Amino acid sequence: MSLHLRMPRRGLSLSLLLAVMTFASTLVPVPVAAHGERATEPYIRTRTVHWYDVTWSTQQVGVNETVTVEGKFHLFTDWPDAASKPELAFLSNATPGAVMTRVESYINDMPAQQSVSQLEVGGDYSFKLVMAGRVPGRWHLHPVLSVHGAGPIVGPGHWVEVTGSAADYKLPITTMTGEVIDDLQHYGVARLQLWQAGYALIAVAWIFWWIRRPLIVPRWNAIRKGREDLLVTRTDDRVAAAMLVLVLVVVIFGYHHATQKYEYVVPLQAGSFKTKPLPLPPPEVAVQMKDATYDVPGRSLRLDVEVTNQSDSPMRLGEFTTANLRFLNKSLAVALAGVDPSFPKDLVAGSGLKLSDDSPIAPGETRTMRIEATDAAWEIERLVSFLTNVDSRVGGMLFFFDAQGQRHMVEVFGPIIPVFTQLQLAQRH
Amino acid sequence: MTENDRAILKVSELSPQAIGWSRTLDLLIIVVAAFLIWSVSHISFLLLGGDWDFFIDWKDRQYWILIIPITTIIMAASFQAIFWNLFRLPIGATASLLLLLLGTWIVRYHSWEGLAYFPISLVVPGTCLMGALVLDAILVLSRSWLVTGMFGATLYGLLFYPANWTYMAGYFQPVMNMGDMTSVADLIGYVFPRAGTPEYIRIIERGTLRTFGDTPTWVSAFFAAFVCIFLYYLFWGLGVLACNARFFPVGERFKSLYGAKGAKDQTAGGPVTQPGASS
Amino acid sequence: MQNRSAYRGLRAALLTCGAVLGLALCQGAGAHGGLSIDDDMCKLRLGPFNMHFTGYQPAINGNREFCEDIPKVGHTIVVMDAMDPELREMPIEVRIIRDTGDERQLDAITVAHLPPKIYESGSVPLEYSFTTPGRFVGLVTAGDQGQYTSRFPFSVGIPPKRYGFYLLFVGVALLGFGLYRYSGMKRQRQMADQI
Repeated sequence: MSLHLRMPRRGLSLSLLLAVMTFASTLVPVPVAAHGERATEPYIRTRTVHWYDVTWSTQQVGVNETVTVEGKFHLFTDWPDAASKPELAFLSNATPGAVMTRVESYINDMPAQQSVSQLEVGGDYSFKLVMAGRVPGRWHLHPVLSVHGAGPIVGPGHWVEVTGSAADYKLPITTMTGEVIDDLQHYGVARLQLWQAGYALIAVAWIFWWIRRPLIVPRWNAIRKGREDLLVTRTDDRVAAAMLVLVLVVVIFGYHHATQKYEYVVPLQAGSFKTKPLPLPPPEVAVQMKDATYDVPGRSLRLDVEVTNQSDSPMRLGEFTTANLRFLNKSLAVALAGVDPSFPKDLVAGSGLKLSDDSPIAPGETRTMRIEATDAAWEIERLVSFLTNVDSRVGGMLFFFDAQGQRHMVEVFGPIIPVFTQLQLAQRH
Repeated sequence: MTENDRAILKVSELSPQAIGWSRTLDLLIIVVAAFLIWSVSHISFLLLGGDWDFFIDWKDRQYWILIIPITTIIMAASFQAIFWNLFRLPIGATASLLLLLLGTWIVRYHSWEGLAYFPISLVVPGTCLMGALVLDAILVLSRSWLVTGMFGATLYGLLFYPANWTYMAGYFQPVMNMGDMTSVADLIGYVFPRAGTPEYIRIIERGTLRTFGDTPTWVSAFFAAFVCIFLYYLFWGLGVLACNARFFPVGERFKSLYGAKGAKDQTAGGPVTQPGASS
Repeated sequence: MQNRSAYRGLRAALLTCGAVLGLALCQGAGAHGGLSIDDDMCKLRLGPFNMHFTGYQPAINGNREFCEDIPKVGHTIVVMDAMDPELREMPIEVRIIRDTGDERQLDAITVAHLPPKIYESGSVPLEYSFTTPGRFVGLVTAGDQGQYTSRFPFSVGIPPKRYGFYLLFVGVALLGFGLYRYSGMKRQRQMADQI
């Protein structure tokens, strides 16, 4: 008997425990770590914003300490029609939530608290982000240019470790009226909660005034029997009138007090700023794309291009970059030197750039050459879905270097065709 | 138990045993109704009010003042109609806004602070609770949806701004940031990044309301009050409609499907309307 | 009969509240001698001409503007801007005197004085630090013979009487009472209907 009783009871308590745990697990917040920088369509990542010369001042900061991410971005001429042109944009950053705070941000050395408007396609801009550590952890920090109508276009990301204790984070400021705010992340919260708790208290009292009496069935019956006069009494009228007066007095008093205390207020700021592209000298190389294929199983992008050296110095191709991936000509020292030691290794393709002819292009010479960029990163970075996009084109930047080591950046873009040649070759052997 | 309570019980003609059971039923219904009002009010508000309530740097003088009252009065009016028509309980609007406020705070701490690391100062909510109390009080005093809509809904729309300015004014003090003048609210929105919410996405005042002596806020508040009147009537009507739940007769085919054929049938006949559900 | 009295009660309550609210909202629009708010602008009448009058107390109130009474003692800047082009071509003299009621000994009671001068930019700035609260009079004279004059009394550091603010509370109390009365009348009407 007792055994029979105990078993179901244990079962019941187990299932109850399980239910409570399941419910509790939904209440415990579980922060997310990744933020889907690879989810954006390749035609956006390869043909809109090309980030270059990006550096991270440090990879480890304490709470309240700052890390500066700065560099430049180029707005691609072959901007896809499926995405809006950069008429209105905002310089942001990608981190999982507010784990780092934005201290300062600039586009072309102009404060970028507001959005920037009328950016020019084909132009280059400098940017700078100063971020402070807030929540300890290892966070992937990217610069982001959010373009109205095109979405966030994420730049290269690097791991930054925030050390220390989140409780130490503090941001004191002084307003223009002289009020000292101890910590922006808690500012005004206690005052607001106190008032709202007061409001809620009146509401709870009001609801309690009604639900303390016999409720559902008796009141329902009383209405059916035409005795609603019993349900709302003269005392209720008095309480309602008193509460009405109380609420209005509290609101008028509170509002008056706030307008007296904060006489000088400003509305939310909503303007945008404008800035011209950086005055860069035009590149002295002309590039025309003849053919582009992506070898699907070979993870290789092949570009056949016609290059004309318009300068009076011999040129060599040093780098091909697209979607934050960098393919370097490993035989060219000046190109290798262009990779800042702080640049994330996972964004520099290991196999580098393979060229059909790596000899210097003489001044005035026009040469047709094949550029091969092979790396698993095409797959890992989910860049090959350009084969199924509405806009099957590819784009990127070619960095040429002249004899003096001067860099010449040229855009390269055109339609792309998927092929399976390397797999066929492998099977044949 | 008061004299009045005893009179109500007497009129309802419940047996002494049934009175005890009816109180248990009251408690159960309070719990169920609370969750129902909470979820319906919260979901409707998330869909319609959304960002203006989420972030401090969306709380502008134009849309915030307008949108929050008109998106919350719809559920306040509906629940008020249901509770008043069925039970003469003037608590629908207050309950809707009180539970919405409670739910909002839970989400602020659980999701916004817990999952996205946003400081609470970035995500402080506003509330129309004071307007809801006025709406319920005027319903008690006037016992008429027409008068309540005319005066209660007007006050509901008007009160939102002053009742929230009381504790939000401080967020609009001027402050210097990188050489620009901005408000504390703007600065909070700038400092604590929301990766998927760029600045330009904010639908806030763009500076075309600078009439009436630089105070467009009250213009918005009066417009909110105006819109609230119409929405109150519309959604009071929806509440009344919800009170008229009907039971439809079960067909023979359905009964045979569920093996109920041949059982003593009391539901056959015309639709049975719940009585007492008039406005 | 009952019906009519119920509505009369409601109407009386609403009318009272409306009047109170109206009074409360109108409190800022009082006239002060030659100074008044007209078309949402603080104006100083100078014969046939007008000047735009603004007072500032930057250290105390930021860039908030005052029309007539200066709220606190301390550093105050008053700027008068010519609204009519003729004013830019005639000398303007400004004098602030203590309001003693006797203006025969003008120099003795003068606290700030700008001698007659032509202001080509149209702006007449006057800076003065009021040390004690009290009542003052502004005297502005324009024209070669000083033919256009304006006299406006104002106070410094005297908190304004907030009749409008208190009237709001009276209005609220009346609204509550009015609705309560209305409710009672409606109740009586319903009982009469039942009988």
